[in-house]
Amino acid sequence: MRKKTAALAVLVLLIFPALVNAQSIKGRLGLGLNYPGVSARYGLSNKFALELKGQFGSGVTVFGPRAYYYFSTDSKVCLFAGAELDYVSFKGDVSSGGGIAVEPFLGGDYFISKHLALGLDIGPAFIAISDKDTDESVSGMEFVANINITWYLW
Amino acid sequence: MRKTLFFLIALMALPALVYGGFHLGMADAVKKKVKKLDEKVAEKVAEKEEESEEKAIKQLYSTLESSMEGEDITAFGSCLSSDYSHQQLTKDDWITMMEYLFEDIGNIQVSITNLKITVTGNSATASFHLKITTAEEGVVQDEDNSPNPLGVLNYLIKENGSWKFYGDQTPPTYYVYGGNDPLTTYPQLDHPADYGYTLLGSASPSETKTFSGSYNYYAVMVYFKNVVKIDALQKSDASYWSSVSLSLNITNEGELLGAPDGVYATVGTGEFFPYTNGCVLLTSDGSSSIKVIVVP
Repeated sequence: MRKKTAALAVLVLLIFPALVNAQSIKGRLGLGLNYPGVSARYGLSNKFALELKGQFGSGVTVFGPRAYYYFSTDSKVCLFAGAELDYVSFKGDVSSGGGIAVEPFLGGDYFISKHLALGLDIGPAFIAISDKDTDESVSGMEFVANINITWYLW
Repeated sequence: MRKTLFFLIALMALPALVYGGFHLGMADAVKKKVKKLDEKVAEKVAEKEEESEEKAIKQLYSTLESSMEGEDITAFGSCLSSDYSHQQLTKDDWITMMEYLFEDIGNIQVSITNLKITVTGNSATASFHLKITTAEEGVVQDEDNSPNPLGVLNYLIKENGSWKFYGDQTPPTYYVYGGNDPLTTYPQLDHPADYGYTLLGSASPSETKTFSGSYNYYAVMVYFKNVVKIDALQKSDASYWSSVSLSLNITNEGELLGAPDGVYATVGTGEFFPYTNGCVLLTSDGSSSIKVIVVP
């Protein structure tokens, strides 16, 4: 029975996207999965949202807030711009320590249903990390693409 | 509006494609930086370790200087590995010679300068300028030392965390050099390579071997405790040398002249002290090679 319900839910998600839009994000909480981590997003208004995001790679943890500005939320594709600030901790083969990452980004959410959105954003990230045992550090820009799926609870 | 945003996104993606592509997720981008930092830190650690090893080796040379100046045979012996071996010299040979020197020679002054060290794992080589003066004889040595058959204190090993003199660890060997100017005096006879001579090769004293190269002179050399028993020396036209231009520390010199007959001349004394290097210098007489025929 549960399997049938789950299958039905997926079917609904697949069939209904053409009929839905984001409507409003104000006051809505979304829990998300991104590659490779998790996130929680809250709509402060119809234009602004805040998110806490964590990512975990082999020996790398990235954690920090993201701010979103939605250009519009009246269609199933909602484009946005934003910025991300992360605290970074890492343990490499011979180095370990911490640092920061900052990234402005542009992207969009594609609302499959009222509650489920697929997101993609890209941007240049400035990353600065340093080894805690030596005075060695590395900094520079890397281009980052983020993909995520967000489930809005209400 | 939407077109503008798509244009901006495309604009942002373009440099990324040129730059080398996107990282999927910030964590992946950080990983790339961590890898780069790993390389820098590993380099820095290696540099620090090398500096530390160089410092320890300099301390060893400093101990060597002070042990000789203070005529402290125990301290001197502590600088040498028990496995020391250089052109058949052993640690015991050194101890015996230094005891003799400390008894007979007073006020030894040793100065090791211009020390250059190359560390490779647990072994190292060094070059330096060595000046030794004594009260009786004044300056007895004032020359550059580099890792070569004469470089008795230029090879090192790290044993149980401490650097020691180790010697070159070569098996018994004789060397053949070729050059165009005659060797005439002591330092030339010791250091043919420093006087325009080219090392044509080396061999075990039990090995008959041909060394090729067109030069005006050939020098057959043995260092320190090595000896080689030479029956004959053959030219490239199959004839045999019938005279020697110059020789040093050789017994029965006449036995290496002419065709092989099983009777040999011995080059080198097999002793460390006093002066022991052996040399046979020959004019090439147009020969383009020299075959050293030895008695094993």
